[in-house]
Amino acid sequence: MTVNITHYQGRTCEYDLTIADANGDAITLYAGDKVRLKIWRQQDGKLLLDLASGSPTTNGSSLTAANPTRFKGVQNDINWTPGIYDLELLLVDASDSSRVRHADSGLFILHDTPAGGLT
Amino acid sequence: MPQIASEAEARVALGLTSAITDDERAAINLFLPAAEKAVVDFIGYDPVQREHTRYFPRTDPSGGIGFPDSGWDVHSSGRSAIRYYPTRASGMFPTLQLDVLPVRAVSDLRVDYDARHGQQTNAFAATTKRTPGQDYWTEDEAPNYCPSGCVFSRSTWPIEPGTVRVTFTAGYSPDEMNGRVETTGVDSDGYYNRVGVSANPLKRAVLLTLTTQMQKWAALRKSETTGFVPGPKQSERLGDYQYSLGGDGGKAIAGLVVELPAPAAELAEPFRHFGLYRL
Repeated sequence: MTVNITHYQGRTCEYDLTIADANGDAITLYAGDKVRLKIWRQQDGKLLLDLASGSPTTNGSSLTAANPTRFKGVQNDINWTPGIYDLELLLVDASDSSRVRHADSGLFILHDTPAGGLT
Repeated sequence: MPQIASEAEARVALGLTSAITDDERAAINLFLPAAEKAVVDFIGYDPVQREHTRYFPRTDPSGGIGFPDSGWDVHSSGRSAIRYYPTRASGMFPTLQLDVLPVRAVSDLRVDYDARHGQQTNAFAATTKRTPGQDYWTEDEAPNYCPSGCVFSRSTWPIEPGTVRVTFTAGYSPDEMNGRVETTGVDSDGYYNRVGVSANPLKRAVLLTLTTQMQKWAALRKSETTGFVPGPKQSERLGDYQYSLGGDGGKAIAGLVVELPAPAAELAEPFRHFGLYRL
């Protein structure tokens, strides 16, 4: 499985991301489960965005605790240098002592924008 | 340790963006570090920007152990390398070339004639610290950008090995590695960036090396339906005579040794450290 997001620098957009099982079927989230999304730069291990459902960033980037989960990436949080970054989608399993499970991984492709900034 | 290219970039280079198998992902993880190592070995240093601490001189240029005959220096014309010989006086080494390029900042430099590579008690004490701009300076082409890696001394550098300790930051930032620097200065992650500086050819060399290797791997990998795709013999026996291949030799024949393809070497060539000044 792979989940890819194509985003534009300094822009806001929503994406629906589905967590699927080995057969490709969407899994069911139960009460207390959380979804997490990490976007990172592998070269130096820098975590660029670390989101958990129910805990939006101060700028408003968020994830919903649902499947598919809705990821809202807000411009002030995604204003890095254009490039190709790694992303991981995780499930925090409330029924298993909130252990963190790898759900999917893929690419976060950040494109340049005309102003290169937030406007 | 080096991270010139990432797995995500490798996937894009290999055309594996929309779907990737576990086998392919595992192969990328196997070959990407090897491809980086091939490039690092070719240029002679780790080009990822980070801090290093080194002891200099590495060997005794006056003819000590490991350097029995002579060394290399650059002719004053800057156009040719010349040999120097053990008879050369100790006071003729005003230049110390650091082994990682480009040098972005020297945070600490100490000279202790009895340091013994830092293993002597109280080696490189605070009193041995030298002052930047007065006792030494780097050959900067621009602020925080010294592509030669040369550090000049107001007097001379000692020739006794392990008597100079340098802590410095060198290499290219992630943005420089991508060729996407928009602002000169130190960014929020502490990386030195300079507009116009691009180490993108190094990243391309790594990805090109990886792509070549992945193509070999794909050609020789096991086929799920027909067993192994035909490849080189691993062993053979005829009466008392027999042989089997394994280890590095077997890998080489099977095409699993990661080598730098010629186009990748061409890309990396301008970044090579020839070490002409290196003590």
